[in-house]
Amino acid sequence: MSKKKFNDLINKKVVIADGATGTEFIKRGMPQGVSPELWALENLDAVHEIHNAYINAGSDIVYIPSFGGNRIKLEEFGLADRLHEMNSSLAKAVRENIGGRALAFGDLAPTGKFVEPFGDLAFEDAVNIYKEQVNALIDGGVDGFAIETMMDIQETRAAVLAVKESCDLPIIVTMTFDESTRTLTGNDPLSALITLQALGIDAFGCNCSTGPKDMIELIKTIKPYAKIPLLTKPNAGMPKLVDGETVFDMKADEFAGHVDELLEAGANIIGGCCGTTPEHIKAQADAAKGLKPIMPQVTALGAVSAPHVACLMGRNQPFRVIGERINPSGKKKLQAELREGKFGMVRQYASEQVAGGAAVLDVNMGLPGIDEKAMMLEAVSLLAQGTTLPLCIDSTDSNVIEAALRLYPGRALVNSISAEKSRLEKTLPIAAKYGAMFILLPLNDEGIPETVEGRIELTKEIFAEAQKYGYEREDIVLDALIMTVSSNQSAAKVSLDLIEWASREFKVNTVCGLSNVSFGMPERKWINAAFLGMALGRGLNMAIANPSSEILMSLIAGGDVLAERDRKMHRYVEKFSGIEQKSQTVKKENLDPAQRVFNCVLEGHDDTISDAIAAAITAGVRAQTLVDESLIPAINKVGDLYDSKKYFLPQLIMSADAMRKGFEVLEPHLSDDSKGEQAEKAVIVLATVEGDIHDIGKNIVALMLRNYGFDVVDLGKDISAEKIINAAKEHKAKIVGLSALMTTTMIKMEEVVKLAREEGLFSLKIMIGGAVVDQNYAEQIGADAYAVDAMESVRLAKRFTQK
Amino acid sequence: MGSKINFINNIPLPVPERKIYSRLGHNRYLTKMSDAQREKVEAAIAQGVSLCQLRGVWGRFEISKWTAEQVEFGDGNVFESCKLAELLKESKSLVIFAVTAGADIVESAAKLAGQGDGVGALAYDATGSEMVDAAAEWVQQYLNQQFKRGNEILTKRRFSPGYGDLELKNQALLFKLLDIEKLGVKLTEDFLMTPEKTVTAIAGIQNIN
Repeated sequence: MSKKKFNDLINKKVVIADGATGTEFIKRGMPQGVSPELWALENLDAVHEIHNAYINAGSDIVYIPSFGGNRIKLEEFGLADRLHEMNSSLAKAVRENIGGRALAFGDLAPTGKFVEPFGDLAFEDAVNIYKEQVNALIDGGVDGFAIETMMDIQETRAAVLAVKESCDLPIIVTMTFDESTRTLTGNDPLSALITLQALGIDAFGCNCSTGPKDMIELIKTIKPYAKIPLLTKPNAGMPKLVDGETVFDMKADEFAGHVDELLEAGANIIGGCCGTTPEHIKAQADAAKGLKPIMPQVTALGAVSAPHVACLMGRNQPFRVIGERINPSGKKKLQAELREGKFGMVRQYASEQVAGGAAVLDVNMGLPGIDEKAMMLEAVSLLAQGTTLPLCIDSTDSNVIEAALRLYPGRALVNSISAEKSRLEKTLPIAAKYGAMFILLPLNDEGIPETVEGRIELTKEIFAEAQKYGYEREDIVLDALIMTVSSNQSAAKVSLDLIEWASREFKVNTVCGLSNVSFGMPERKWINAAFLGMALGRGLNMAIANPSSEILMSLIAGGDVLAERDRKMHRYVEKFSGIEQKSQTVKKENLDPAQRVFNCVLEGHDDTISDAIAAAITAGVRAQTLVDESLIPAINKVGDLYDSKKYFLPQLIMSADAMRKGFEVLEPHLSDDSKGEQAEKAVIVLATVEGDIHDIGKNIVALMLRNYGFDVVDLGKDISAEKIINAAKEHKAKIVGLSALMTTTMIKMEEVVKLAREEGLFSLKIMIGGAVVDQNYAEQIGADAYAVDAMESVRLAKRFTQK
Repeated sequence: MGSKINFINNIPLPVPERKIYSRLGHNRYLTKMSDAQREKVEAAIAQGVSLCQLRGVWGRFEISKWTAEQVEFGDGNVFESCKLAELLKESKSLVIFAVTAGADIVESAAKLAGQGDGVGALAYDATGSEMVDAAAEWVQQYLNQQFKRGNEILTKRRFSPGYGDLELKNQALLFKLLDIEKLGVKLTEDFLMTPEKTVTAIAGIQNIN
């Protein structure tokens, strides 16, 4: 069946797909642990019976039972060598049986492996594995392909490309989203839709995991962005465990009761998954009779996507910043790292730009002396896993762009396509194949036109070429090609005029490499800011820039308010409201110097306590008074708050940090006598016992003890009894603290206690801690105490050192 | 069915924020934080999350012989444990898996502790622990989804070396069977795993009904 005929069918009516196959096989005696595909082949009567029942119920499409017919799944049953025979025979038998009464779609489903960059199955291997199955099904005869129950966008892409590169048959895709509307691998329906419809599938939707009610909401959410028909195959309700059995208990009538709402939400194809039967499908088909499906509402969509996030672009969307930093040009450190094959700075730039508010990350690996393609693939792989943002693939080499687009598990933006012959002939078809958006550069082999008219002419020429590949205006971002004003002061005007024409007349997204305008000028930020303000007024809606620039991001936030791109000004208020609150807090704290010191400890402000103490001393408060009436009462209050669970451990540590810092600042101001009173300086030896490598708890105890004035000798982890006791003797320790986190290592604590007593250290107090020990164990091995947490260890240490 | 092992390079998880706070001792009804305190803890957790590189590996093995004291599986491998045998008594196959949060989070926590940043160290530690636990839950969920089509489901409970009567030394067998070192995880002489934010598990595969 051609894609056009498939579309004609969708335009005519609500298309009914089939219901569950797996649960129907089990009803007919398929045992556990067998290959369902082999069972189907050996029980074709059962397959025909199920299909006939679905067709009689009203199914327009039935799935050939080839769900697990890929090489990886068949290998699990030792059947890989029968792959072609099984798939083609199943397809042939199904088509013969249905005899044109319905369409027979080849069923492709997960391999069970994770595909790179998320797993160890190479992307090309995944494509080839699906291709092998696709070709076998084509040999048997299919009307199209259903890629179903997918939980990972990258594996889904591999299956889609396998079909696309093998035939021109219709492809329908359903992924399985749980109640949180994410697949198990975290893909959301909108980014999956954007990625897959750009790749050229013919319908998208969801199957399995949830019942019809949850799918109504999901379809509603993505309908405004769908250029293609939407499809749902819900389970017969949510699975329930009854007498140890998983059952789907939604009856046919109730199942069909959701048809109206599913269609109103925007579904064009409906069917069923686990637990549904021919009765469910009949009820569904009856309910849909005479109803008109809502056809796709958009013909084009300016949007890019990453595996877990979509980014919409356009007039009514927020101004989008494409983070420019992952580009070695002019960055010596990054160049050196990339030459060594390291990606630490790439990772760092990515996370800084995400935090700064970028919407898309530009990735450029163009550097003489490195393998650009290999490095680009490495960077794409790393960024697809390590960041949430969609990528902009930036290269002048079409081979690099093709490799990156093929691997990237989303819809990328290509930077860039111009009227240069090589770009139009090579890069444009590649971008189109993978459905990427692209940045249009109005220049050709002769260079950049100086006039706005020249640039407009080239823009139209490139767009006309792109239209031949199915591109629409929404898929394009025009680069206004800003040149520096330091060499030509009218350069900015040409770019601004081009932005205005592109936004208002040609109606495409516009972008510029913002900082180019100020190259060679002093204090560049002001030129950049002024240009941005002017360009915003002309309609600029994107920039390639560094999102760490506060001026830039603040101007953009303001611009979005004025251009009504920030509805109800939520984003602006969210960005700036915190700043006002903070300044109010500071004002309040200025009221009383001694109280401010108290608050610093109470709230754990180790960064401001020095200033607070200095202010108090200047205001005439005595150092000893600050100790007695601010620091000590505050830390005691913190202890009470911790005991009553109003504070938790991080707050306790923050306060203890602030107090320690406070003492350090005050120490020079205290008299010698009072210093002596403060100094507890008893030595405590801490260690994680031999064989145990867990030491974070012990490290926290060390920090807390130090904050409370003890002299801690931290021996580290995996320390033998001999070393611990020797250290206790050497440092004249009053206390030894032991930590263990494993039942297999806690026994070493007893060795330390025994050795201490054998060595005659009877006054040495030994306290123990760790997840596997308790007070009973402390008593059992003869330790002096068990500390449940760091605060308790401080209390015990104080008690043991009181004179 | 075969016993091929499968690596997962990136386990995608929502951050188990509630659990991280609970591990840090936060009581949702009683504990109150100022904005500055919350900001500091949240920033440390967010940084901790970015340092976790969740990876995993799993393999399926046929059980060839079951007794109340031991389970033989795969090519002549044996787990000697009455409690594990009890868990697997309804299973014809078993799954072994390992997940790790990687070395960065553990090393960074130690570094912060060394620098006196207790809040950061604690937050990293709790984040690493909860992220790796959530990753183990995720793998179980993922495998259930995989096995559902074959009318199979994992046992609800899972077992690890060091639990009950399954000796810790069995980690060595798990490392051999799954090639866990490929995840960047090593086993010490005392059978402890480094980086420590690593979990191994054994679960049975049962008929869904």
